[in-house]
Amino acid sequence: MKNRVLKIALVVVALCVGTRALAWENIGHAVIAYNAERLLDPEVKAKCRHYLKASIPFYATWMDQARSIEPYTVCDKWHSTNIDAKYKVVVGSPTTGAYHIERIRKEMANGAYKTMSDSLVKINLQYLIHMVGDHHCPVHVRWSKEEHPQFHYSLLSNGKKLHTHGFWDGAIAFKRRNWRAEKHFDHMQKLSPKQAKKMQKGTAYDWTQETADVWRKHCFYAMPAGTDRAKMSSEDVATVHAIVDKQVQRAAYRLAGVLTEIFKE
Amino acid sequence: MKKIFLVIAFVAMAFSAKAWSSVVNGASFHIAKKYMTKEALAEYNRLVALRKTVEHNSAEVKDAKVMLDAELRSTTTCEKDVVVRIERAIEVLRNSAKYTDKEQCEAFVTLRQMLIKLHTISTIAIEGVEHSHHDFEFTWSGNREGPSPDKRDKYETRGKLTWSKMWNSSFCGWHQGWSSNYYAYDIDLRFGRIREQAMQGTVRDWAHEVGERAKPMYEWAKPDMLLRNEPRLRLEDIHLEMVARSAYRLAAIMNSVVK
Repeated sequence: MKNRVLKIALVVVALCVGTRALAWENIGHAVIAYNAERLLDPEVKAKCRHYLKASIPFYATWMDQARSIEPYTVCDKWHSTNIDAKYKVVVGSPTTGAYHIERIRKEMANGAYKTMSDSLVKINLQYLIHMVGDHHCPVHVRWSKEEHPQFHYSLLSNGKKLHTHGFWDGAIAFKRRNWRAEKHFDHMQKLSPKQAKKMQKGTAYDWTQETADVWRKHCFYAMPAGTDRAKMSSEDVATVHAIVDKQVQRAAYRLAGVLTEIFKE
Repeated sequence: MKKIFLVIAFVAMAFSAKAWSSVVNGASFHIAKKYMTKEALAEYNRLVALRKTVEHNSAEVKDAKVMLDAELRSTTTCEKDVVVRIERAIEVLRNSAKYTDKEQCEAFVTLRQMLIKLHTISTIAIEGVEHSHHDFEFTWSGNREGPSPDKRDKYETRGKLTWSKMWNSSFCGWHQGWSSNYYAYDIDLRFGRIREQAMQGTVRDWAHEVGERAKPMYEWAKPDMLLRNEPRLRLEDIHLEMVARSAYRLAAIMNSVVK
């Protein structure tokens, strides 16, 4: 009885904080942005802070908050990218996030950011910080229901229906609710400079393709339809964590890589 | 079942009565310590240690208000007022040799909690502004209002918030996973430019300043209003600025107490 009361009280406290499940949930974006910031060299970090007038993680969830506010409603579709019937990422569509990641990278490359107003640089950074994170979230690849019906299913949470999107968005904190960003960073596998460079290669389309492959080759099997997350074995939880941690690592290194590519003199 | 409900209600009430989340409270204390003199920091740490070892009464925060007149001045001598309580606490800490450990503890706890309350917009009660004297409920449209203005109203509203709960604890939800240390770092980074100015003045000056920020809000913030996400995003900046001011002022007070 005492345990039940405590559990209910904890749920109420959690609800009082006023969060809502969004892409990666707020904590996922915060962790990716925090880890990326920790990986930056001081010069690039200082430039990001100069334009943002805040830390990088502060804007990690901004796109989620702003998507319904003019003039940012245009970015509502940028949180994910489509995959076609042949399991390939759709290239070149301005209603996808990967397109805009690449657009911004190109527009700010080779010192071109210096010709932009500070406010434009700031908003571009805000987009990148969020979108690079989103495109490493396994459920932020858009599988059309008609072309890929097998990927549209539900999980369970204590017998109650739970959408797969909701589960994978919050998977970084699954069974790790009390972890702060610092702990996630310490836990993240660090790469040598050579390994980091290799990981940072490619375009947002390549990374999205990789995320799509992660979904269909790993997530789909790690948490098949009807899996009840409350009844998962510790091995199954570890499998989910391994998938998510790898995606977070990729997102953090790549975000750091994109920011370095823009600002490093 | 009734007991469970009562526990839930109690926890919910307790949570909304407290000022700021523990992460944000911790952040303000981290920042304050950074700007204390060596002597002030030593005294601060002494009081923190004392607080852990000496039995004392916690500061009563639930109904604490900052009472301002129509010109936004704090002129009250009412013992329960936030400003008066801060002034009394400073008096005790400035003359700590005259007071027992318990009294010093209580003054220290009061100072920290009441400074936070002073910088919480929903604590400000302005003469002639009826709804500033009581907490009130409103509807928040939620993070996901809708993809475009024409579809916005079709999304369900997220639900009810109270004015005090919004200012006390809702903003940190956007920064899950942040430690107090990191919050402190980010807030100081953003608002360091106001530090020198913030550390000047008296408690009553600070009350007036916060009142000036609060008063215009009460022109649109009313019971049963619908608050959309756009203004709420801007309110977070004000909340964080208040956290910064509270922190810098705690440092200023501790620096003055040991002089």
